[in-house]
Amino acid sequence: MRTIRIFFQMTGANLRGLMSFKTDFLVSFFAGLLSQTIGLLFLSVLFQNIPAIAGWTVYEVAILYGYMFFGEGILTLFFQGTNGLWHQVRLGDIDRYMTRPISLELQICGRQTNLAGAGTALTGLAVMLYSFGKLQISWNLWKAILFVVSLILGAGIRVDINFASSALAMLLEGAGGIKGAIERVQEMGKYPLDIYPKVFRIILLTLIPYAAISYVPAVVLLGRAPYPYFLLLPAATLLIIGLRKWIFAKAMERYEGAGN
Amino acid sequence: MISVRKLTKEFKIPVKPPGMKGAIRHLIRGEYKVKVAVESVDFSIEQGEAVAYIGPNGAGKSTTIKMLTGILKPTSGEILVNGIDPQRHRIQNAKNIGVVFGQRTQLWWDIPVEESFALLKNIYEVPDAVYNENLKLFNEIFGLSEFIGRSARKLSLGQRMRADLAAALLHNPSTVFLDEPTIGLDIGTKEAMRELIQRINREKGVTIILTSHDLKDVEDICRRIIVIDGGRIICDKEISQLTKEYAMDRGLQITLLDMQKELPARLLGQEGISYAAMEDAHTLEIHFKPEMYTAFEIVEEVNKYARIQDFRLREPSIERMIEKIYRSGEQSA
Repeated sequence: MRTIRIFFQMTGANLRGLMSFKTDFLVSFFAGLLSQTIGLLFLSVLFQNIPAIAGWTVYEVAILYGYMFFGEGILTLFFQGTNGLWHQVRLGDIDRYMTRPISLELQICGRQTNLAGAGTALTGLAVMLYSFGKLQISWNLWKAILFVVSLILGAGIRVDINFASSALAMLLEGAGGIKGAIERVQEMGKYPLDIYPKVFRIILLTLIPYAAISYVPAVVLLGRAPYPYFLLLPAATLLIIGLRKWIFAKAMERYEGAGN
Repeated sequence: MISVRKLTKEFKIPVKPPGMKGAIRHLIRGEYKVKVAVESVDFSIEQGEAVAYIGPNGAGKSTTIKMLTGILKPTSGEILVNGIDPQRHRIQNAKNIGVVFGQRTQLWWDIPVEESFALLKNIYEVPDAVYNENLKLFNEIFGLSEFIGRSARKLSLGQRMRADLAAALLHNPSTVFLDEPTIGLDIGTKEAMRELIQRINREKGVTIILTSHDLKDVEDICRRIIVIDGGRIICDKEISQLTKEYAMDRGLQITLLDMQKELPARLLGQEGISYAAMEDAHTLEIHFKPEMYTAFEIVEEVNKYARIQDFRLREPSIERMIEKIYRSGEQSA
């Protein structure tokens, strides 16, 4: 509890810091909205030319988009600090965190807040709700609960993938591109898993579980798969948390400080 | 209370041959060479002591401090800070210590100092009464209220360092590590920093471990000096004792008309001369035992080898003592 309180206090302080640059604050919020709108524009152009992707219609794919936007939004808004761990090592930030009596992960997560994430997350939610409406999904209490849980776990997975890939770059001493490469894999989470070869499907559900964020809850909510299929989401969550912890621990083991 | 036994830290330095080819070869082979930064260091520091931990750049000072604060893991050896292993029990250790790295701020860059303090208050779970009392003290010495509403980004270096020191002391740590706390500061700010450090040491019995290249810091704050060079401790003494030992020697500064590079070595070979070195091309610094020579005899001796333009007696300063310690360390190594 104390951890969560301190996290929100850090985030609050970050936000107040951001607000001291008023224009920047507003621009970044709308930039978040705008950048996702461009993604949606691409989706609509795509579906003007083809009727369906692996049997998925435009609004069904839009739900996948929505999930990915939401996760990215939460990541950018609250957990921006998980980016650039290697950079934080070089600046000596990690040294500073280690002299404080709270967890390193907490301080890394709470380091930075970016309001662009709010725009992105809201776009994601709006797209999902609108698409669910268009698809005339029949809602019940179970589905409502699963939807909320999937948003939370999905965002968590997104943050953990980011943290893990950032820690991997730190472990490999900044080996350029590794984090960017993993980051770009998220595009694959925006389309139904059925279109990928088997190896990719497995990777997208386990090691880099972007599909667990979007595809897994979507197939259940859309009635394309039975309820138990949803369990892949918490399973992927546990796996990626373990993976993130392991890589980060390895990276810290090799950590030699920022020198002077 | 800090105790350090046989503390050693080795770094693996990647060996990268030059150019693209070399970078690729390193990636495949991954060759490293081992650099020993701290080698079998022993010392113990009682609660309430103020100790200067000094040495030339690259001697292993910061590495030691980083191991004592739980940032770096020792390669071997044992550290106990207030009975706690700082690396294994980082969080528990962090509650008891305060850390200032002079070259980096501890504050949040974009938020007002006040808010940084409030965050730290929660992180360290500082009771209101302690927090307010401390702020009052810092305000008295540092004039914090002038800039506490501004973000760290907008502070001058002097203000930032004051805020940084205050931030490190908010939670009444029992031990404070100061790594170059006065680097780059003007005299006024340095004085204020020293005053606060002295006060918490004398009034609250806080243990101080200080590294600094400014020996005025050392003189004002510390009563004991540990000198490290090449990763090894070459001297660990009370300053009063050091002064006694070295103040026995007299110093002379002699300005020569001719260039005399080999002169110091020739003089040092003689018994009763503890130090001789060229300060610059024409200035010879020489220390001697007064029971063996008079100042005049030294001048006469030097005059045999070079023409003398001018000379004056030098008071032994802490700076000279340290210099001597470095030199004797080099000789014995």
